[in-house]
Amino acid sequence: MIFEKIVIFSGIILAHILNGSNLFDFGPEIKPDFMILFVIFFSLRKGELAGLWVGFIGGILSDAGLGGEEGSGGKIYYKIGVHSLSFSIIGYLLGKFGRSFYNENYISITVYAFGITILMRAFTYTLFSFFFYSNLNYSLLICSIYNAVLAPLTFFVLSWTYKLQPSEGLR
Amino acid sequence: MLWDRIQQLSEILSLFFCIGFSIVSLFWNSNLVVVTVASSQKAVDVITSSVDSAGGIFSGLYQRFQSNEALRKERDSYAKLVDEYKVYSHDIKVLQNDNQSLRKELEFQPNINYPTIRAEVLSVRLNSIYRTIVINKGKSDKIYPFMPVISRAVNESGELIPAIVGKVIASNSSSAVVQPIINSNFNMGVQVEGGSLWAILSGNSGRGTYVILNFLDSGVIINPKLYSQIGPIVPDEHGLEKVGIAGREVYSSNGGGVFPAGLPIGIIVEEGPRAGSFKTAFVKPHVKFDELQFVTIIKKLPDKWVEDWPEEKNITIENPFYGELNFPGEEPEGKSTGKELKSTPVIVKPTDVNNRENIKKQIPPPTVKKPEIKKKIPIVDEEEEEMIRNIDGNQ
Repeated sequence: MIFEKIVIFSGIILAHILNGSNLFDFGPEIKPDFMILFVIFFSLRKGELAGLWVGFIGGILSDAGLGGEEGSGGKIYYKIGVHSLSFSIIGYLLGKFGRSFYNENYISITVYAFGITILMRAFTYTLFSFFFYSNLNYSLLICSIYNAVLAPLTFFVLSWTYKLQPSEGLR
Repeated sequence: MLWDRIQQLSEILSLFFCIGFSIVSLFWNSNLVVVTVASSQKAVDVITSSVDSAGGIFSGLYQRFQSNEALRKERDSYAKLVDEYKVYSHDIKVLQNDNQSLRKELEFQPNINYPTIRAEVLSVRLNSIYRTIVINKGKSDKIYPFMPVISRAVNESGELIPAIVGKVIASNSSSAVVQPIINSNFNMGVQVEGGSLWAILSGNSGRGTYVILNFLDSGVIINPKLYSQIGPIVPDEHGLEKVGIAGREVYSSNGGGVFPAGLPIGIIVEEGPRAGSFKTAFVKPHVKFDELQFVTIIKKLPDKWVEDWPEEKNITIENPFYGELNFPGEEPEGKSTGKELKSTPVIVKPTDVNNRENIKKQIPPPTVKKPEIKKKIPIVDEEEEEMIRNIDGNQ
C-alpha cells in the first residue's frame, strides 16, 4: 500500500522533472505538460480521490517551480496554490463524472487529453489573472495539441508502469 | 471508531484540505508552509539539470559513434600539424601583448564595469504560467535579487555579444531564480539604437518568446515599407528615428536603475497593436532561452535612488493615453474609453516625469476659433449685447 503510493509519488516527481527539461521540446514554444497527463491518467484509471491527490501534489510541485519574488521589505512572495487548486479540482471532477462517458481507445485518450489540458490551463490562467495579473504569454492551444498527440503513448507507458488497466479503477 | 468515521469522510476531508490549503496559500503567500514547499524546488531543479544532461548524452552518443572513425583519421593528420604549430606559440604571446597595448591606446572599454560571475542553468520553465530560470549560484556567491543576468548571444550580424537574459528575483544559499525578459511580469526601460527614442519593454507580449516595446511615440514609423506604398517618407525635425525603426537594436537605458545602460536586448521586428495614443513594437530577443546552459550575473545592486525612492512618491497616471481633444463647447466624446483605461494605471518614476512633460509640450493647446460677429444681425436682447461687448473687449 505504502509502496504503491511511493511509486505514484515518484511518477509525479518524474513528470515535474520532465516539465522542467527540454527533452520533448519542439523549439521554445512547443512544450508538453506531463503533469496534466499524469493527473488525467490517474483520474480516469483510479477515480476521483486519486485524481484529487495526484492533482494536488502535482500542482504543489508545479507551483514550487514558479519560484518566489522579492517584494517590499525584502519579503519573498510565492505563488503556491494556483496549480494545486486547478489540478486538484479538475482531477476530482474528472474522476467523479468524466469516467462514466469514457471508453478507452486511442481517439478518446486524445480527445480527453486535449479537452482536459485546455480546461486545466484555462482554469490556471483564470486563477493567475485573479490573484496576480493577466499573463498573455501562457499557451493554451499549442500545449493542448501537443499533449493530445503524446497522450496515447504516455497512457501506454503509465499503464505498463502502474499495471493499471482501464476497468480496474471503475466501481 | 473515530478512524472508521474518518475513513467514511475521507473524500470530503481530502477535498476540503486540498482546496483550503491552495486558497489559504494564495491569499497568504509568504507563510512558513509555503516557504518550505517552495524551497523544496531546489532539489528537483538539480535532478532536472541532470536529466537534461543525460538526455544530451544519449542523443549525442549515436552521432559520436558515427563520426568516430572519421575523427580517428583526422586526428592522425592533425597530430602532425600540432608539432608544427608549437613553434608559433611564441608568436602568439607577442601578438597578445601587442593587442593589449593597442586596446589601451584606443581607450577600449569593456561594456560592463561591474564584477561578474558565471552560473549554470539548472532549469528553464518556459511552459509554466510564470516563466523562470533557476541557476546554481546563490547568496553564498553574493548573488542577490535585482542583479542583472546576461548571456552570450549572437546578434543579427553574427557577432558574439553579451545580451540581457533577465534579473535575479530571489536567491537562497546555493541557487537563485531568474526572471527572464520573456516573463509576463518583466518590465524595464530601454532605448532604441540610433536616436533618442525611449520606451518600456515588457515581457507580456502575448507572442511566444518575443517581448514588446510599450509607450512608443505615435509619430514613430516602425516598418517604412508599409508607408512607402502610400507616399514618400520625409524625416521631420525630431530626428531620423522617425523613419523606420524595424530591424534596429534595443538597448537597456538604466532608466529603472537595475540594468547598466547599453546592454543589447534584441531587435525590433514588427509593429504591435496600438495602445491608445502610443504605438507598440515586437522585439525578438537575442538570447535563445530554450538553449541556455550558462549565464553571467552582473554583481550590480540597484542604483541608490531606486532603493531610497519612497513608494508614496510614485506618480500614478490614471489614464496614460491622451484621447481626442475636446474643444470648448463640444460634447465630450469616448466616455467608455476613459473607463477602460482607468483600470490600467501606470506608475511613473522620476525619470518618466520629464517625458510626461515633453509629451504634454508636443500636444498643441486647443485653439478657440474667434466668433465672427456680423453687425447686421439684429440683437435680440440686452444679455447678448453685453456678451458681444465682453468678447470685443477681450480681443
